Amino acid sequence: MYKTAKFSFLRSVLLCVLGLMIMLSFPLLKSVEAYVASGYYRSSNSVSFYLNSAFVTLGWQGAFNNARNSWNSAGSAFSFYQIGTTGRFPSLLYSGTTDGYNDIGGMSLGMSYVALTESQTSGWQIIETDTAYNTNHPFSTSPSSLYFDVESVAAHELGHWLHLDETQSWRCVINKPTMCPSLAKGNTDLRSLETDDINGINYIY
Amino acid sequence: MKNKITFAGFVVLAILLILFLLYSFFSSTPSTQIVTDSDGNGVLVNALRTEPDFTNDTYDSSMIVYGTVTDINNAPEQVLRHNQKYTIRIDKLIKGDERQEFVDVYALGGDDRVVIENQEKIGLSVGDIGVFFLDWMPQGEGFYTFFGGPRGALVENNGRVRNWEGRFVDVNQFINDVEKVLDTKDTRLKVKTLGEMMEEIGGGDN
Repeated sequence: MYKTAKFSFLRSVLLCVLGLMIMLSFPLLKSVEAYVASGYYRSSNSVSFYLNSAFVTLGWQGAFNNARNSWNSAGSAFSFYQIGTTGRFPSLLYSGTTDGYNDIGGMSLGMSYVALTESQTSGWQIIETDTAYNTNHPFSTSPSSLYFDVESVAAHELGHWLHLDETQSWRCVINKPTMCPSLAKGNTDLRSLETDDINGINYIY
Repeated sequence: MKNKITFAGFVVLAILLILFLLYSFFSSTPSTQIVTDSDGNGVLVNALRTEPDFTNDTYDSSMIVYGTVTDINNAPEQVLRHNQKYTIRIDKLIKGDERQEFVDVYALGGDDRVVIENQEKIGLSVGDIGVFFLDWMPQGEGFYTFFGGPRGALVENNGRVRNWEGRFVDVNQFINDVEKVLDTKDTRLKVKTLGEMMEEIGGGDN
């Protein structure tokens, strides 16, 4: 009788240990998912945007096409379309209001921001998104240690349009997913989507 | 007796599983900062930051103070959607023109994502002492936000802070390092900013 009780007690302890192991192993399992999705989404599988006309004059159109095509060919049902160019200010950032247009432009953003994206939501749905490049920094489409890379920034910010979040910093030591949270001048690592980014867009859409 | 013990084991396991589910629900760490209006609608804010670099960050900060967090207000009057205000008592002004005793630093709230960030993240709370790097708010020169999300160095044990390389150094040594950079002429090569380029082609600040 005593032995049976002792055996059952041991079995219970083992079950507890098993449960504890499952609980403790979860952070490790989560770390396999390197992308971070905010939970917000767009109601359709496409989004159209306007690019600031000055950016086109500066010869940046190709960089934006490349960034757009990177996401469009990531194997998901989602597509970015550029409708045209605009002289509008990105209203969400400039005045905190929606104007019905998804715009990419420039704006003074202090010094520690390279670019900023804001999305207006209604419930869990994203209804408008605007992006601003920081006009206080230099940008170029040609890699150089003096400029931030236009295409890397575009690829990263379009990831936020989806709505992917920043990858945690420590993951960026191993490889450089497009959704890494920071960028150095001359660095073009964020141009190309990594497995994390591709898994992210395919998870949401 | 045996059944009772087995049952107890399953109850404990069930509790552990519930804890596990709760943990998995609350442990996600999205970086999006969400500002919600009274209707429940919100604005999601995501920033791509400059790569942490001690020299660049020191030169580019609009203000650097050695000070103490004296108040955290989670519902101040919003400034450009920044809905969290940290009041820092300036114990030593390292960079900047402010002459007041306190500085208000605005952040995007909604969670406790305001952290001092270099090699690891530490949540800020009242009483924290450190070297705080500040930046102008986006479109809000005159109002301060934390530089880089933010960057800085909190005083931890024995008056030491973690520097940009992740090593613990004496806080006074860290302040000396900052001052040494500031005392050195900024010889970084300057090229036209996007704003200057846009102005040249008639695109204004947009």
